[in-house]
Amino acid sequence: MGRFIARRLVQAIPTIFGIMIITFALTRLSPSDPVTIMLGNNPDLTEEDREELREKLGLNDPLPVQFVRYVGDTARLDFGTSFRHNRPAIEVIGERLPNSLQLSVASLLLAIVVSVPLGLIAGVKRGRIADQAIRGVSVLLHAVPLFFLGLLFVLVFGVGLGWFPVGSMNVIGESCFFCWDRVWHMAGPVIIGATGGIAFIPRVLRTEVLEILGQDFVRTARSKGLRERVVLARHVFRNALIPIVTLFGGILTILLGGSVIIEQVFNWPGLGRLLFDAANSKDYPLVQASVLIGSLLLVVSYILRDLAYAWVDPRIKAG
Amino acid sequence: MRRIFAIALATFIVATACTSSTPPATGTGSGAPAAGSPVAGGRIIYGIAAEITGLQPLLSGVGADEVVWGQLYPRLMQNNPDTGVLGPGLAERLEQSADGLTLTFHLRKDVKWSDGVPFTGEDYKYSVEATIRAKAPIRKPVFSRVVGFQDYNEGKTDSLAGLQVSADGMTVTIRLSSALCTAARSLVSAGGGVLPKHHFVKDWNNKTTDLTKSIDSSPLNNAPPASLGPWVFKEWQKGVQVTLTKNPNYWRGAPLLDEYIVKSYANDAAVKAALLTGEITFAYTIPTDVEEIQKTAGNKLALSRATVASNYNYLGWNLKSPKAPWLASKDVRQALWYGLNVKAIIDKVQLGYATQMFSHYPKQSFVYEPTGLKTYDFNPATAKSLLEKAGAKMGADGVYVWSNGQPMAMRLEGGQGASALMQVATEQYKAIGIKIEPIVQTGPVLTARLDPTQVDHEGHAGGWFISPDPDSAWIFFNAAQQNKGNFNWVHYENADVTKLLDQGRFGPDCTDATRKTLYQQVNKMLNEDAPYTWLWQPESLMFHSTALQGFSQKPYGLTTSGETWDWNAEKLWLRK
Repeated sequence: MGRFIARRLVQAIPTIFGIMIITFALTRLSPSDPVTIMLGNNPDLTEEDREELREKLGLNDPLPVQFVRYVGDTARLDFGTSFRHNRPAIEVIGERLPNSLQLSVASLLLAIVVSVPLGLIAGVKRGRIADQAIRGVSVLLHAVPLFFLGLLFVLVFGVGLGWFPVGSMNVIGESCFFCWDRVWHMAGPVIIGATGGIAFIPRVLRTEVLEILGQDFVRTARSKGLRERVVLARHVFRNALIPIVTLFGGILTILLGGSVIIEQVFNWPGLGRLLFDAANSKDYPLVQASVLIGSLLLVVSYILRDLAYAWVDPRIKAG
Repeated sequence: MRRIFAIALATFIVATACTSSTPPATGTGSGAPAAGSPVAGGRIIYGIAAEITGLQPLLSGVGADEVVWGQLYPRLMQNNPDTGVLGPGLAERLEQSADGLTLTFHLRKDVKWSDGVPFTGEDYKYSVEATIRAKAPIRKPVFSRVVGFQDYNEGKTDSLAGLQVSADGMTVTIRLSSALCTAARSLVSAGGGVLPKHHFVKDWNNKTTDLTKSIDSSPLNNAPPASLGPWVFKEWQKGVQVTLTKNPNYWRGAPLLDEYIVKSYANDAAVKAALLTGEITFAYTIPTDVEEIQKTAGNKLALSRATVASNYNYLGWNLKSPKAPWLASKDVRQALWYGLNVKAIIDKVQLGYATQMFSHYPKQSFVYEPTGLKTYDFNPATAKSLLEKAGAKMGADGVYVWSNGQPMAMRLEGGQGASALMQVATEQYKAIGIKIEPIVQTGPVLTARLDPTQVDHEGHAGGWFISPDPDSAWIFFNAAQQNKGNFNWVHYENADVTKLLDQGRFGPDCTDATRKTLYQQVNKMLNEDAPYTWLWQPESLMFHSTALQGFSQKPYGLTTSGETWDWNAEKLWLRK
């Protein structure tokens, strides 16, 4: 196990390095000057003042020099100081990351709880009304953009009916992380965040169920006289769930990516919103650190996925 | 709170846009009159579409941050909310020597910090010296003309020689190495606001000559320990809100309200939703949302309108455009003004919530003089005759052809918010034979494309937030302001205007009377040269709970953050 994890971590290094190159290049290639954004149009500032700030921030160095410095600092776990926040980027991210993870994990759990039964039902009830309804809803959710669903939720259930708060993590005056108030505030973003999984997982699971229902071992189980419920639970569902584990890494990617939109719509102060603001203000250190931390999380999620895959499918472990 | 985003983005804003509606009656800055007797207590929540990133004025250049620290660390003097003229605040009065080189602030003797410690000129001196030695040089240049700046900046002295505080601490004298007519307005800020020396000195001593030390890393930066404003810092939930409580020692009188919360939202839509659900007490809004909010909220929310003097919208023309050489012609630029029905655009795009402008200075400015200003009333015939006078000839396809044989077609670039304006302008310019290609850009891309080092652009739709001091024109229209990061985006070069702007900024005569004459000339020349087609001053629109009493907006804010409502924060109260 330990060797497996170590091997995967080593294999992730080129991926992370590639992400660092792309992030660095994109931030530098995009137009506009961070110093201009930082300083505004204060008439007391001269060109020399602007140059002084550029120099202090290291923006006057050639790009290769800046990149080498970035890689070196990152290797020493120094993620730089945010231009906007005037604090270490990692400190700013550390304040937001738990909020994003809370949302992503809750969305993932909700997606699983809703999707798995739907997928199994759709497979077992193939061609019937339940199957068609599940597939219809799945396609619909897949077709509608997240931001639109989010705005619709805010409009209908927040502003219109007043059932849920329209944004934020707690009511004014509260700041708890695990409490009913937080759950109430999470309802909207979690439901909308889970729609990505709910649109996707049932269709994959349905296909798996249909394929397994046609397998010899299912036929054998039925011919042994086992009750249909037992055949489905022990032989069909269990095997159908194996490929779903493979999807979880990908789903987490979708959830973290979608958090940029979800957090904007639901005013959730997480990593996605932070990244959005940082990109708009050309806060290089914060953008670079946010993307890197997000990438590391994904690498970890893929490793966990592989471990889970080996756990649910003994053939993998044996192999 | 669009304004705060704008300030963060080099104070460049994009015009708001929306669809047609019935224009409302012209309004002025006023809110609902207070009903009944004021009662103490309660909490108000202000929703802003921006994130607060820091609470240390010396280090932060983000406009949203000033919404908070501006309430804790005020400046020595404040804008008169009606006229914008610098008036009493922590300092009772300001004296300036005839040569403009010496400024003397006489401080109020009854001012105490929220923790009861008396406020003195030493707090101001400390704040200035902390700004000069701060590693982040955002506000440092404000003090570069103070005698001894360089020595203190380089750690050669342990005190800024040109800044003296009297023995009783109630008089601050500042000597400048060269005159700057805007010095008073710059120097009142002490790098943003006045800090409580008795707290911060524990983290950074202004007597040190060790340049490795600075106030930058003080833990108090984001936990303000004492306040001179109406509110005292209580808590900052990062990314969510800042909570302030009332300052019982506020020199203007303790606020009636107990608590004031500034809550951050991701965008205007989220602020609007929070207004409608009653989550927040008040917020800025945009013209297109007014009708919907009024319909949905009914009598729970009241609209406050004010014609503010701090911002305007315009179309800018690049006088050095290689692709549109006709923009160098004054006749063509005037034709572009005559060819635009600005009043109709105000009705269509701003839904009537704006006042037409004809040059750089708003009507509220003390230098504004309407006599002699052209009003460029919509007149397509005049526009066409000016184009022909400049050398253009009508082409077979209805588009004018310039003297070099090139069809008069050009790009008009702007932000998403300016798309409606650009669309209407495109239609109107087509009617006078000029083809426009409207292009929507993101803010950072547009700012980069319009940098004075770039000439590959023709027209742009934009807006500025301007200081109450008439020197505000200097950065936009001074011929020397064309370096990287400067704001003469239209490459306007008029030697007379540049000379007048320099005189207004550097003297030798910095009296209001002389400057008024100078800037009135500038305003007329800009109006005549038309490097911009000035469009409108947008109204500042705010919705507030009808329970909030005494709330109204003024043309000028007390701080530089552009807030228009906080001039009487201590007198606001909530009806039970």
